[in-house]
Amino acid sequence: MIEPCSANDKSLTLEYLERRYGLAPELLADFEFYASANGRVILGPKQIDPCLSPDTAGLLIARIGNTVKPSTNLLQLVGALILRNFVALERENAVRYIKGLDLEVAATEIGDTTEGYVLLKYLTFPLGCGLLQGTHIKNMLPKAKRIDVRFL
Amino acid sequence: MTLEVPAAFAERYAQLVDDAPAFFEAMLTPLPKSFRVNTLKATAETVAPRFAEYGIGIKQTAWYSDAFVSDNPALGSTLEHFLGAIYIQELTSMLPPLLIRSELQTAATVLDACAAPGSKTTQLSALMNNRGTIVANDVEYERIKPLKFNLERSGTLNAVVTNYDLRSFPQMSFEVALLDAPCTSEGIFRKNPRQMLSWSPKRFAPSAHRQKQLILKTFDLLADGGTLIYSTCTFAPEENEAVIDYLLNERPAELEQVKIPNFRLMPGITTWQNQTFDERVSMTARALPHHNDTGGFFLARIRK
Ligand SMILES: C[S@@+](CC[C@H](N)C(=O)[O-])C[C@H]1O[C@@H](n2cnc3c(N)ncnc32)[C@H](O)[C@@H]1O
Repeated sequence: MIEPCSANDKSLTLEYLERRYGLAPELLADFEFYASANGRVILGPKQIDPCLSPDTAGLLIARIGNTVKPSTNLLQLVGALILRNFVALERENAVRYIKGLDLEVAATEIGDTTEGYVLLKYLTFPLGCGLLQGTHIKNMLPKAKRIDVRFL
Repeated sequence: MTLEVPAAFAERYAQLVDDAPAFFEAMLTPLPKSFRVNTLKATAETVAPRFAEYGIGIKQTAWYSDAFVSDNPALGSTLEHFLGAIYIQELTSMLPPLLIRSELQTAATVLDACAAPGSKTTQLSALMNNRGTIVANDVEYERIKPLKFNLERSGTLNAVVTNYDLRSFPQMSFEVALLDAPCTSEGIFRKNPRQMLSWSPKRFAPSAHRQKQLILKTFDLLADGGTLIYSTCTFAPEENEAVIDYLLNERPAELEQVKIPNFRLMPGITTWQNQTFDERVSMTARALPHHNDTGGFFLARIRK
């Protein structure tokens, strides 16, 4: 079930995406924000007929708890536009990430990316979300998306 | 043991197709692997060179520049599959959205009446470039989960997922609707030929009964002037032309010619066993496995 998103959660999400990843709010302006259980923020179509009882809509873009956690599906969709707080992975780490494993990266790979949720990339491809803590990256890939990637 | 087409199946469909031996041979040959480039995330021009680098042979189809066939079963182990840049989909399953390509450019409201697991919803969304609203409905709650997963993986933002029995869907109106109806699925026996062993003509009547209810309801959900695509992946005329004939008798529906440039289709039939259908039913179309090396499919384009 989904319901309208509170103005507060909408602005928290938009501010976070802009501050942390440089994503302009206008990017999402053609869509509407909805809320579902456990702080989930959903981006969906502007028009949903009021006589429908939707199970869900659009894309889960973030979850709001103590902080805002962006979803892998969002980062994959807009990843090409993300200019900061990403880590570019070597091939071997990209394979490990897609398998669902945590990663160790070198300080040089982190650059000026700060601790917190980061976009992980391989070449130009946005792979998804990880949690950077020191040189450790906790895998945030939903279980259902994990695969043994053989061609990359 | 070599698998054979059941005798009753062979006898029945020898009357329907143009070249029965070629048809039966195709039915026993595995389906080629195929995928569609998801234009919400990638383009054919960026995806094709990646497959060349992997050494995975792919071939673009002549009728849809985003559709590719491959002789390699490893499509699901590629980065592009993980990223949602491609969607592994049977070729004929790509036909219904293609028929309404131009309507989708401007449609504000689209109904995908029987949507799970979302192969066509994700394609509709890509053809709409995430604009407008698609209501993706399915009665089976267990199939809603894979539907949501596929929508999210594809980056679909313009879909609303509902879980109604279509027959009790709230009364509203859509500019475009797709009824990809539940059917006896004879056209995808090529995916798993063993299914042919449990084939029985007894299944047609209950399936057709449900399809007739579903097509009337979908037609009633269409705005005046709206377009409805009815499709099945089965050969049985009871579930195809007979359903369209029924709609023409029950509602003021018009048929429009089904055609797809560079894809060979057989016109819908107007007589079957002892039945004669409305002549306009010949504007519907059948995809036969031996014509384009695909599954079997039926398509009708209906205008309100
Ligand atoms: C051929 S499949 C749809 C495939 C889907 N369009 C795709 O391309 O991925 C038919 C679907 O119809 C659904 N269905 C069957 N009866 C229904 C009803 N009364 N109302 C809504 N959906 C129904 C089934 O659960 C099934 O998922």
